[in-house]
Amino acid sequence: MRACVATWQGAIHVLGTLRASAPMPVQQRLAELLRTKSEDYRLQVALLSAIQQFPLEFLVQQLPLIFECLFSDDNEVREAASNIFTTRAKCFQTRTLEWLLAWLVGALQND
Amino acid sequence: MDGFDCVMAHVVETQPDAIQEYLKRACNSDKFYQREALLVVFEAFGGRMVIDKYKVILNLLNDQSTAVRTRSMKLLREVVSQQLDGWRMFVSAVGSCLKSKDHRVRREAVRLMRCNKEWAAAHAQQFTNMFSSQHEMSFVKIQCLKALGEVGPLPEACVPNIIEFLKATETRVLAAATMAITNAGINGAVLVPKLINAMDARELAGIKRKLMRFMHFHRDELGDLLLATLPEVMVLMNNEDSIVRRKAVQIVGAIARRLARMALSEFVVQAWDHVIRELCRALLDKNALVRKESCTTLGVIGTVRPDLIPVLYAKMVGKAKGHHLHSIIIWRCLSLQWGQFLPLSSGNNSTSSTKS
Repeated sequence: MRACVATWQGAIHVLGTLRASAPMPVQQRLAELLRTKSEDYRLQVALLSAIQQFPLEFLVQQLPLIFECLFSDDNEVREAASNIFTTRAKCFQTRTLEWLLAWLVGALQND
Repeated sequence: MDGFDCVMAHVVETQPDAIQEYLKRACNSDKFYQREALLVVFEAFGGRMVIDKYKVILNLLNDQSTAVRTRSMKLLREVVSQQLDGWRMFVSAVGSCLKSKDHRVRREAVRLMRCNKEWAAAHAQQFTNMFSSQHEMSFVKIQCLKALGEVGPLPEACVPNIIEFLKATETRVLAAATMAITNAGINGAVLVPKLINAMDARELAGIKRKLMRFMHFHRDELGDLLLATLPEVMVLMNNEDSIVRRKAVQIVGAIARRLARMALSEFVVQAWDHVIRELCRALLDKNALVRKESCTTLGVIGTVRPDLIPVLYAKMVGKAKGHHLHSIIIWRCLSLQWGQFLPLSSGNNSTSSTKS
């Protein structure tokens, strides 16, 4: 059964409050939702805001997706992604820009 | 390294050209916000990445979008402040931004240059011209003023423009202009008396007080520069605002302490004459706090220069004629500080020693 956007938003927001203590199933579910690349920008914004304080490893795994959102045509999505980059900057400094771009290159080739 | 990292590392190793191509595409995207997004990534990766990918940043510094150019310069602030190797590669491009038609780009360029004193000092003349220009925007001027204050004493040529600036009706501009002067430390403090004297008598009382408090705060750091401000400070002792007068008296006190340590010369003799005359006059000020400050200052002068006590006494008697009553407390205070009895009679100019 399809829930309305507001319900999704509410549920994602609640999961986001788990922050760094989010259990693995929650992380997996949110990652899955992020990968589906919802057409609705409101869901994308909710997801990006929810994962902002998630564990570092989770963020690093989702980094290429966040990176993609940074280039979104919707300014709220860009801002939400930008917030992750600026608030959790330290997570990324262990990687290189090439590493990040490699994912996108791979994704483009798969397309 | 986990599986995901291994795959990425493999792609990085085997397809460097494809990665560069992707970066180039992002950099040359026709959507300005996508080019700006690239800068967010650079911010997250830190200054080292900016130096590594300097060609991308140089490209973005010449971008047609104001947002992209200003953000590129914001990004460079960290690189310039930390003086990371290779930051000078951006000097020329930022120099061009200083001539940009867009005031936001010019403001950001000046702000970036302020991150390195040497760099800012090389553009001091240009900043002075920009600050003096009638066509320049207020917020660019504020940055120029801040830059000038940070690299050396504020040029006197700037004074009329600073005063004009302090008359701004917009609170933000006014607050920023005052901050620019106060941020300049002693370079700004030395100009304060000149600025206040040049302002209209009934205007900007709050600003005048703030500037006086600021100068008073820096009185000891000013060193010999403080002596040069004496004539202007004397004028301030007649200011219509009691707080300005009180601070002026305190500054005169600091000048007196400095004079006491100097060898006798024509300048010193004249300076003492002015200081004593004005302080004695301030003993009869209508504001009690000003009187108290001048009494304290005269007390200090008498303590450090006991030879001047007869001169001080003579001046005080001359000035206090007809004002004996409200001077009693002051005279008692001075008698105690100097350890000498000061008779309240104007007919007797001599002082007599007492055993305290």
